[in-house]
Amino acid sequence: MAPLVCENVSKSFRQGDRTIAALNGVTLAVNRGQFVAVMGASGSGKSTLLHLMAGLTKADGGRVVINDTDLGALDDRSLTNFRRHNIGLVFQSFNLIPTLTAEENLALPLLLERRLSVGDQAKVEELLNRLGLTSRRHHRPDALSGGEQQRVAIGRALITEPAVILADEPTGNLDSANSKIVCELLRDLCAVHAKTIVMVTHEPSVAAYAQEVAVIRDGKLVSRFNVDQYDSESLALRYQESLR
Amino acid sequence: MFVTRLALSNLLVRKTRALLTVAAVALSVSLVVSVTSGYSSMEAAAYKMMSKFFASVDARIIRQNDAQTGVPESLLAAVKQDGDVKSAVGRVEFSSGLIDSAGKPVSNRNAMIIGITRPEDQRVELMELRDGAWFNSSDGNVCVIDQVSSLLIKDPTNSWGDEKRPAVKVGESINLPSPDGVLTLKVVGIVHKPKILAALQPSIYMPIRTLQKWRASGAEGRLSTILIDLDPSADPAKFAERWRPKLKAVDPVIQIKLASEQRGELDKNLQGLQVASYFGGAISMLAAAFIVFSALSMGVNERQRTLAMLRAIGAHKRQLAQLVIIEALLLALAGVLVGVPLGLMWMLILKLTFTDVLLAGIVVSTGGLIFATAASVLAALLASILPAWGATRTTALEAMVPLAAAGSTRRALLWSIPGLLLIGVDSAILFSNLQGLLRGLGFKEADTLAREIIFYMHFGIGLPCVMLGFFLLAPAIVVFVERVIGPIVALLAFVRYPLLRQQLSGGIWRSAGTAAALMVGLAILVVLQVHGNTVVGGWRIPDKFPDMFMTSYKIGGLTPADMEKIKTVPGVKADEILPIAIASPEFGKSIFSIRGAAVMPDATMFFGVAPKLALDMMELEFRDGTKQQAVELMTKNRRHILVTEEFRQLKGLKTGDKLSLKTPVYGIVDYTIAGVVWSPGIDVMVSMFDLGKQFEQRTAASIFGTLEDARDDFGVQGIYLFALNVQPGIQKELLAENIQKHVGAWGIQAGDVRLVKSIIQYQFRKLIFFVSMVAFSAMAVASLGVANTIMASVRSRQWQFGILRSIGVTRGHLLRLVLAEAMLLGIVGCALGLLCGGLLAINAKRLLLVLTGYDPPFSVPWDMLFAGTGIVALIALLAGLWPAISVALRQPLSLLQAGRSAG
Repeated sequence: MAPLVCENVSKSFRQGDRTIAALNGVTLAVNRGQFVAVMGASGSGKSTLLHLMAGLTKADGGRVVINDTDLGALDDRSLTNFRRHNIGLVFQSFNLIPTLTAEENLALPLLLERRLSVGDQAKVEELLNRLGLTSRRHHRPDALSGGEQQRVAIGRALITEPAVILADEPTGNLDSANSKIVCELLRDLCAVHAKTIVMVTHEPSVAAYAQEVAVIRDGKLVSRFNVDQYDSESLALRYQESLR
Repeated sequence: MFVTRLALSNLLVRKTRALLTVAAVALSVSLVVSVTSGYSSMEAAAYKMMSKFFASVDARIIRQNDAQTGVPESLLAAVKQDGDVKSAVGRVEFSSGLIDSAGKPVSNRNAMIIGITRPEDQRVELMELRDGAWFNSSDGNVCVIDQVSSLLIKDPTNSWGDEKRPAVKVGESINLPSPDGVLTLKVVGIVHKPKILAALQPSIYMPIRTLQKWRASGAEGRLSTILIDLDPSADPAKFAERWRPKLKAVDPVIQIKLASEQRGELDKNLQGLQVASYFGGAISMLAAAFIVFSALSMGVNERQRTLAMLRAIGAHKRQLAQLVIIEALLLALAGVLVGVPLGLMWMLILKLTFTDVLLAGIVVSTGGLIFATAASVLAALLASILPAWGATRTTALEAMVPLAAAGSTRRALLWSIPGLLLIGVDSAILFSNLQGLLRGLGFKEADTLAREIIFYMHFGIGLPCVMLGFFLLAPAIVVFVERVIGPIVALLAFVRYPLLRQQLSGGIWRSAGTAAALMVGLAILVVLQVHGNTVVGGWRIPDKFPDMFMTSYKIGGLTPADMEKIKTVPGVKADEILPIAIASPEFGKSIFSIRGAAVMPDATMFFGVAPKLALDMMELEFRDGTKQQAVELMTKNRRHILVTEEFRQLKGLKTGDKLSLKTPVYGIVDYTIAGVVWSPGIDVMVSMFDLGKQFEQRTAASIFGTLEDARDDFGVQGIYLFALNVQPGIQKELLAENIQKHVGAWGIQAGDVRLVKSIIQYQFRKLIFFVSMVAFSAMAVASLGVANTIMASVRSRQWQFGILRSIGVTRGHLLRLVLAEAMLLGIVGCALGLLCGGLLAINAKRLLLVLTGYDPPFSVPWDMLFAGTGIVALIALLAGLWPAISVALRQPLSLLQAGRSAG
């Protein structure tokens, strides 16, 4: 089975006296080692889909299954544990802890559970090296550039070797140069290390780094296509077409 | 543990806030340490003084209830022959007026004349002899005086004992007043006593035989006390057991008191002071707890996104709660580490300032240290409960939102309901009919048991519930003040109300915690002042009451010849001189006391009088029975008494009921109540004339009986207190002088009753003000919390302030806006403080009635309350000054940048 499967998921929210259907019967499966970009206009439901996949909220209908585990069947404690070991989250605003060093922020999910063993330390070293952060390991977030901070956040998402990595607008707070670095990093993680990645973005230039694009419009999955055949410009056109 | 590391690093992010919070805890801890150590140091000084200056011995023989009449000297020889006795000496103690170097009486100052047996009495050599030497004979016209006596005699205006002024020197002579002319003594030595002791009671030591021969003293053949040092191998308890029947055979009123018993009495008397010292410290600790709560709440609110991120990456709710709790513990422990040395430093300053008082040096209270540490930790833990719970309610989803959502005001307001319920708990305890319930359940001594249960429940449950209840009510008061008073404050500060609105309720628990810290000090001030003034204000002297009280310190009391002399003094109404015999018997059954707490004594003051004359001279308000009935019953029957209203309130006693008292002569005896009166407070007045000194027992309320009962049942032989009326138009101050002139100024003191009352009331109000320092210290602690809160509020609105400055709001406007917020916070604190204090005062009055039966009408010192409210408001304003100035001085761009990075 694919490591990430959304089966006919629905989610609604109350806004004052109205009920908004954020998602309406979306079915999406992401295979192992696949990199999928979820795109859509503001308010389309793409972020809601990511929240459901991350187990940050529960679906009103349908189910989300990660590594054969139905997230809706788990209680808070089990879901928290599951998230710690199986899901890596990358946030738009990095969300690093300002008083911890880059190394500590990267190792945070492990530190929450236990003191670092020799094996854990080796993992941390390897990740720091892979992400090009070895020389910045002892620096606090306020001494790191935006790109470096996001790389630390990616490292934090990878440290527990999760089944899936979910990234919410990971380049939203970065300049173009750092955006390119982060996008290339995500692509390499997928291509070289066979990580399963789902990334939410509204930028076609960022989505171009993925293998597939899934377009959400008005809470429904309207299109899913391979990115290989498109360059950045044509991808934008294809995306616009999907939204019509 | 990593969570500890995270907690520590979180505190270091907001260094100023952490420092202010630690400072608040440290200040509270230092107050606890210094106040409890101050008590311990005073206690040690008291024991040292007892030993050095009050002849602390293994045992002493005295006359109970009538110490001034003394014991027969023949007893001394018998005691010396006891094999267990290492040494025994007799002393005569007698209070006398002084005559200055110019030959005039020193007004309103008596000295204690102490006759000692030399060279046997070596205890006096423990005192510091500054000049000269001790006399070594029990006869002769010589004396050793203390430094204050030497100053007073030379210069009667030097009542505070300023040693730079002239004093009597060794070799000079002094005169003591006597009906036969003066007694001249040559000064052979000058001792130095601690000034406070010497100023309270100047002393003159003279040979015992000289004193006994001096007719003015009345001491021939008598000793005031026999001081006994036992052989180290002797068992004091067995010695006392052996001597009690022998003494009873001589006179049932003569008693032997062991040092352990005396120390126990002192301990009991000091116990109230010790409890008060812990209470004072606990109050400031409470204020610190609210500040810790406020700081933690601010931290949780500001770190919502971080906490959400932690949840998102796999932190459990438990770990978030642990984070907040560990932060609280770190703040508390840091506060203790700083506060303990700070408290010891206060003690050092006190020691250097009051060397003469802290005779035993600084005695650090181990109990105080433990209490300060434990209370800080406990306060921090309690303060962390709500913020920790709030942290666990953070959802992982909040990590995804760009800005953290503000806390729900509505949810905070719901806490008002349990808050109001908690506030009502103390009143429910105090106003319940527990006595009736216990009686219905068949309990014996239901009223005594009910009082004890109510006492402990009030302090153990009621008071904490009131404080917690008002804290939970604080959010509602914040919202109310913001909406109702906010527009007025905005108008006065010339700021736009929409900018001020929601600044407090936006961080509702932060504001509530800080306002609660401000509340503590003001509430305590209100209850201390209102309750204190109610107690002293309720003292009413009847319209018809003796004009003057007169006391004599002559051993054996005034003789009939002395009385005749007083009757001839111009201005005195010869047939309106009322002798009053005083005893202090314990009750046969407990009336006032509370088990486990030395709050109230179980003894009362018995005034033996001539009933008809007494009730003619005093128009007492009868609450049961009548004057005529009472006079008839008391005149025609033995053992009939008038009791004061407290007995009726506490025990429901009325005319015809029995009240048992412990008499030294006949054991427990039943007295029949002839009437119940509102207390005229003679027992309080007695304290002004130093007569309280002869009673080692603390007393509550009073009883009027006959002179015969006082003599027969309590062994009171000498009469020392007299009430008298004067002719109309006579100036009472002049009359007092006349009396002294006519009877030779030997140990007679006279005072206008109403003047005495106003002096006592004035001193009591001074004491209330002194005790109110506790409240002011809590306010000082709270000021740190206000600064913290305003700074956090300013920090959270930097972006908003940047926008305001960018669109044209002036620095001045911004300054006034922040100060207006601080003012509103102060107003919330005042509102809470006045409400809480008012309720506590009502409950305290009720408690007074429950414990003592005393039910005076309310007396509210509005000036003090206004002053306290003003101080709290001023504290809030001043604490907000620095944050207001610093934000007003910043450039708009720096505010925008700082605000964006904080967001």
